[in-house]
Amino acid sequence: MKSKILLSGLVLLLMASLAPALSSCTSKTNTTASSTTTVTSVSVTTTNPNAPVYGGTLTVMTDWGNTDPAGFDADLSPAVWSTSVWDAPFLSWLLGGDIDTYGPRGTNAFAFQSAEYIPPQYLGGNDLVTSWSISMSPIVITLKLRSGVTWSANSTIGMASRPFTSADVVYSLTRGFAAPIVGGTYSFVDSVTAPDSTTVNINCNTFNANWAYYIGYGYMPGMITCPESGNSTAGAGGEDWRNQSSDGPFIISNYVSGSSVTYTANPNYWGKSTINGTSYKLPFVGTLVYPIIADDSALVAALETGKVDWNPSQPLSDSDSLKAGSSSLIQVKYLTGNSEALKLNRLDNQYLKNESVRRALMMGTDLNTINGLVWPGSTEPGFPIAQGNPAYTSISQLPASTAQLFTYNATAAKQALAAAGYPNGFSLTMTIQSTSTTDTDIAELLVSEWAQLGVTLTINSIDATAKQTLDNSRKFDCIMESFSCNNPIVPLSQVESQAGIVNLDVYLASENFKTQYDKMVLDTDTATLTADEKSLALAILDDAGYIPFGDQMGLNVYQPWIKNYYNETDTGYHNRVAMQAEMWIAAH
Amino acid sequence: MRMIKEQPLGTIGAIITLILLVTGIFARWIAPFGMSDPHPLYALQGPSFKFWLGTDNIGRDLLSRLIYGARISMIVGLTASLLSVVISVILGILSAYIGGAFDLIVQRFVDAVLSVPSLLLLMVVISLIGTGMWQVIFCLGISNGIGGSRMIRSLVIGIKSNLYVQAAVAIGAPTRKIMLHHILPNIMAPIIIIFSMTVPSVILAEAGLSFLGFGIPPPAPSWGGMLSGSARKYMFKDPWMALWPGLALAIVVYGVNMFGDALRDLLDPRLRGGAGRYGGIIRKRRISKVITQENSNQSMAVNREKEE
Repeated sequence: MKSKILLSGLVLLLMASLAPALSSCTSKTNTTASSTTTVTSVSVTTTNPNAPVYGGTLTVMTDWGNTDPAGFDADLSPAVWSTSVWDAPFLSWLLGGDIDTYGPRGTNAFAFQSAEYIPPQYLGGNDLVTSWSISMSPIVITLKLRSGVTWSANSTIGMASRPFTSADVVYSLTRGFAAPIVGGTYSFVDSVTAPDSTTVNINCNTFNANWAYYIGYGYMPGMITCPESGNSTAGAGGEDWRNQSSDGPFIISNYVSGSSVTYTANPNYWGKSTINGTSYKLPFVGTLVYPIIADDSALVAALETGKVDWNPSQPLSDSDSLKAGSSSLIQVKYLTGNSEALKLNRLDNQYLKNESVRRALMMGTDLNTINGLVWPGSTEPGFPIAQGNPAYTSISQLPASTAQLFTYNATAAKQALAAAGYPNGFSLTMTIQSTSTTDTDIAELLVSEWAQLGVTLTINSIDATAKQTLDNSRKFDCIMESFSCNNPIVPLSQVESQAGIVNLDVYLASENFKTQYDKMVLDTDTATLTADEKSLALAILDDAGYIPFGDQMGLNVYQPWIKNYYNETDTGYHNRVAMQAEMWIAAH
Repeated sequence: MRMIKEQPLGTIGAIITLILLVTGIFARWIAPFGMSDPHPLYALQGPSFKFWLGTDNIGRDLLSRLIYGARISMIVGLTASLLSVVISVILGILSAYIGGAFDLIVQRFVDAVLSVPSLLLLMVVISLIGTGMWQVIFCLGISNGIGGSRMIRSLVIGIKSNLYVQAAVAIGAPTRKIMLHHILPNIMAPIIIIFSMTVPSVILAEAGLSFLGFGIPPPAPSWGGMLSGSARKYMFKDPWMALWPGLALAIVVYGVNMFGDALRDLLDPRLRGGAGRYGGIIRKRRISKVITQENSNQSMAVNREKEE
């Protein structure tokens, strides 16, 4: 009995020792097979490495990919249904950035990185509006629409495929302007009319220099839907994705709550792209997937394992772990256009209402060191206008009196304070949001830097609501603010201060600023508008009412098999559809 | 001496508590750098000869911040615990001694306070009154004090029925005198124990509040605050930023807890007859040693008898 057991054991051991050898033989067979495939693929690639490839699946994260669209209420929003409201690859927009002509793949005039705002000269491309004109008496913005665009058929709502017309734009804009969520944003519009099938008139009571942003590409009304889809969404809830008709590069084919939204290529899409002199029909990929991933670490793992192909808005802090997890992932850091600035109360504070004091404090702030520590790589100020915008002025081009504010000089600052009547300094309270680590870091550095000037800075760290209340009350000495500076008019605008986002009323109390501002918002000419934005921004910087810190960095991450992609991140407000339509997947 | 002999862990706890006190009091002289002095060129560095525990993301010396953090933990821990005990004693004695409707109302109020999650309550109150060290002390002291009054009340109810209290009432002693001279001295030992047990929980609560941004505002280096914010952001790049304050919190809370435990064993009259938890082990060892000795004596005697 014992010997039988021993023998069985020996046989088992022998089999176990042979198993790896057998398995390696099998692997070799597989390797050979795959080598053959690779050779075929290489031979194709060698012929034309830049040849577009149709088909395949592209999986991309949207900026709202951590939220399930099931909770989306079409009755409140200008959008009828969307994965995450803004990224709607099944719809075309009125306007958007022209990446083919002006982006890095074209003349490289504009990077289209973090470009929620597109300077008017870079608009156009695969959008519904081909041209526009503005008349000032009466104020009418006339849009000329593209012909040859069709809506896809949808049997769920009994809709046959039909041409896109100006009536669709009138329906969509009228619905969008009245949506409860947009508030009074469109109070400058009286009505929208369609004189013919390819023309739309937007009749305004006041001209708004930001119209293209609000109507064309920055806000949801610019994402045009047809009445058949729009009318069928009321009360349809999460199922209303089945009711959508498409005029964009993709068609919604499936939605699994909590998991993903799947789109397939729209065979009737009218968009085209010219690559190496050859015109190609868009989109290239056959299937587009928007996964719903709520957890950041799960997203990191999905990128590292190749489950997600592209995320242009990965937190910068994930850069090192992504590098360690997957060396092949391509990472591109870019300026987001979001900035922090310390707002000094230049009207009510006994010290800060003195311009010399404000300038001394700015000179006594080591902006380079702070930016280097808090946002490594970001050295230029991003406030009030982001870098890359035509109205932006870099430090080297600033007038001498403004440029000196950006040069750290504690001695000169102390002397300036003494000359202003404060040789022994004074005390100030700086308000920050308790949950913001960057605000805290900046505040702690300022405490130490301003102490050298004799200024005792006390940090008041409070929650967001309390901070907003304090900000609106203007009962603060200085307060840290976050600004989205891509669209110059937004941070320069009084409207936004009324919404409680950016409060520049301290400047609007200035007659000179108000005059300039009122002129700027009526500018119809792009060059004049840019010049006025630039001039206002310089006035704000020179006045030292704000101490601007660096432009924040973002992280764009994508897999090496994504081709025909030139690191653009937006062609409108969080709009990546143009890039998704132009990408193709290389064999991998 | 009795503590060292009978409560070895308690002694270690006492040493840790003493180190916390000394570090807190003499932080200014012990710390190699100022708590907020940035050294931008040395940001995010590991332990080195110059910066023994490394630096944070804006180049501040972590050791110096840890030392100054000890001062905050010490001030908050001791002051809030003292306030808490005072409130507990006043509420507990009054509620138990006066009794009746007053007791009923006070106890329902205590029930109401205890029914709200303490962290939530603290966050709401601090949101209303603003952040700051004294605000944190005030909130922690009051919330712990109200909860702790339940324990004092039950002790006083037991003491109130003793003959010496009834005798004092019979001879017409004023209520205040009975409370201060007959009841308070008899609950002194539990009060000291409650105090010592409250200190670590208050230190932890302060760290929790600071971690959530409701505690000690920057630039004061609270250990909880040091654990949150940038420490979380740079967790993988520079683990030292989170490691040291976390370790300091764990050691101090453990030490003060052990010290409190030992005090309880030494001061609680019910445990005084024995030697307390750790003393019990020693006593058992002593007994087993005696038994072994007796057994060996007995076996020696048996052997001797056999030999004879």
